Amino acid sequence: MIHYLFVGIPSIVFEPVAIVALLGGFSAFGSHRKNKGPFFWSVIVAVCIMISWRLIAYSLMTSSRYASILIYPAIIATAWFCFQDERDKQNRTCSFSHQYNTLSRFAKIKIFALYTVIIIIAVLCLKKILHRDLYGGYTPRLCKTLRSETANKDYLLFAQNEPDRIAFYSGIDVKKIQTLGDATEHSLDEMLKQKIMELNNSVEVSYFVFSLKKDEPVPTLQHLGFDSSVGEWECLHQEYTSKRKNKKMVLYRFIPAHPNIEEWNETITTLDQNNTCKNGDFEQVLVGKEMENAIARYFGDIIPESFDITACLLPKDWNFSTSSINGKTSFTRLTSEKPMDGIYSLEIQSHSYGFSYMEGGYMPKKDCLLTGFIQAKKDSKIMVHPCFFNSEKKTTLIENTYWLYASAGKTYKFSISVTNTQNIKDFNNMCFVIQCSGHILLDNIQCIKLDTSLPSESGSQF
Amino acid sequence: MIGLTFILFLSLFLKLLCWDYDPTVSRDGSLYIQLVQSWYDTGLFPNMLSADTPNWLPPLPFFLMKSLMCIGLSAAEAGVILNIVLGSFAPLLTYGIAWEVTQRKDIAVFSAFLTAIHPSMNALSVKPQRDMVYLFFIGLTLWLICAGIRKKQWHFWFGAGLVCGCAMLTRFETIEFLVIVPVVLFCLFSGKITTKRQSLLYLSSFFVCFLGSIFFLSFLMKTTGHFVQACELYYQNKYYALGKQSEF
Repeated sequence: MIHYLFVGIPSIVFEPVAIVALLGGFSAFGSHRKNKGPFFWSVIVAVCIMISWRLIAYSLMTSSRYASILIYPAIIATAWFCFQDERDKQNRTCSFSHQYNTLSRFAKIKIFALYTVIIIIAVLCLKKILHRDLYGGYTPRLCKTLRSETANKDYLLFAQNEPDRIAFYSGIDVKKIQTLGDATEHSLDEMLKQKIMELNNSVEVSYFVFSLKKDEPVPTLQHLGFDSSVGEWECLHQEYTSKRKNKKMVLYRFIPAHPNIEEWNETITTLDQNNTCKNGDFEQVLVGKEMENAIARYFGDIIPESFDITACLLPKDWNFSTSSINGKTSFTRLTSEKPMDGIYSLEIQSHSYGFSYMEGGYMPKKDCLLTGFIQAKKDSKIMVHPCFFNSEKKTTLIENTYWLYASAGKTYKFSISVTNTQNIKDFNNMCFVIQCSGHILLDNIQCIKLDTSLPSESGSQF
Repeated sequence: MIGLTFILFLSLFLKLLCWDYDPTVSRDGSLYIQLVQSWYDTGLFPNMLSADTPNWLPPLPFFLMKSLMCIGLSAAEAGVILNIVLGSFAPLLTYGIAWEVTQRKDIAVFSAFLTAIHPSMNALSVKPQRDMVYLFFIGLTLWLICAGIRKKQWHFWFGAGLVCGCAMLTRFETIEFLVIVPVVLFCLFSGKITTKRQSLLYLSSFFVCFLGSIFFLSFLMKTTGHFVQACELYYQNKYYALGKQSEF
């Protein structure tokens, strides 16, 4: 509240005007203290109401512009102060020189001082108006670089600040601009690191727009904990946002290596005869009691009232779980509506990784190559974990996490090598866990044993 | 009169100069440009500001910007030109308010001059935002209220109510006048400046015109249910999923 009163309001009123207006208010109160008419009190009360409710609701006043109405009384109070000279008491029909010559020495000094105040205020106002901020156009200049980079290309764009302004100056649809993350919970480095991990297996080039403070280190790949194998990370544009040079707006480009995913424009390949992943094509469907049990395990106690069990199909040999928060429910089910291959594809729609969970491909642990096809209905992020467990399945080990990124409307093939499984002690079996944030179709997931006599392919692992 | 004309031209000149010095659209301005463009393209005032934020904003400034687009201006140009034109008249409003309050011509002229060269007034005039539209209507409201007090004529309060309704459709902070006007009239009645009958006449003129202008303008802009729809969307957004997520 104090900050809004002494900083917020004066900033919109203009500080020199605010100071003189305050003096004008006191002097008006003093000169009218004996002749306080109702009009005077009405003005005072109105201004007090305007200021006081804004102070009471200061937490809602995110900007000093909410107090812009106070410019009017501040200007009038300033003018009152500057023109309340001794000539008030004189006959104003006389000429200025006659009035001036009849004044006392003190009064003449007072007039001189007040006119000096007028000149100072006018000069300060004009100085502020005519000041050209050389750093003010940083967003248009950065967006010019961004526009030339993204012309005629598929790309992803992440902006931590000013997404609407970036959309305006770059011509990019604002809906295409994604945020880096929640800046109140994570640092810039954490958000960049998370994004690079997720985008390492993205086919599209990514652009990042964010601000960097003076004391923040330059976010190189090494600083973020990656080596050059994840892809190319380059700063395309940077400039200061003000003459104080304490903050920069920067544009980075990330060309991922995407070792585990590729865009797929050909026919979906059928399952290999050496495939060991059961029901990876999702053509075998649960029926009867098995289906009811699976639904009960899947939803637990949170089967929505509007849920039609008869319309939900789940595949054999896979386990699912879901959750619902604030009415937002994820679901995983088989769909026969435009499947990628065969009769069914698996459809996953989820708000976050934590909401969707599917597990399958149970087999004894071995070096293998997991492949599958993804068709993205909207921009989606997928996590794939090879998991290892013992016979009782009381403990599991998630060895690595592979992040995949799929852009809306495209089809991809993913390939993940799981190697050196002989080094994993105490666990004899393995499976795969897939989690998704977004809306995708999955099909033809298969697992081919890798010949250990051959050099193993190593995927990107974190 | 000549001095006031000079001040108005000075105000216009300084605003055009400011626009040349800093033509960058502000953060809020870029959001408003999207709203205006969407309204112009679809004929409907958008219900959503972004993917997950209902549109709470009062529609009048966007309606005025959209109307200017019909003469071939872009949304950004329409927003800025509207604000420059309205901002150029702000010194006239300050002159009127100062004259009614102080009855001193020198104070009124200097107030007008100070408004013309005021940094915030100039800065707000060259951004496609709501502030200058609000300051114009609220300045006019203050002038009419002060004139109504001085001249004791009900049609000034009538006009103040009309213009205050326009200000309410620009920024919701105008709601403070629903408290200020009754308090001011009570002060005048207590000080025997106005009679009880006069105070009630002025108060009712103001409120009837205030509400009437809000409803009439909302009907004209076809945004009658906008605020109610925004409340509904806010409630839905907070407690229920939107779109396909709710099909289960």
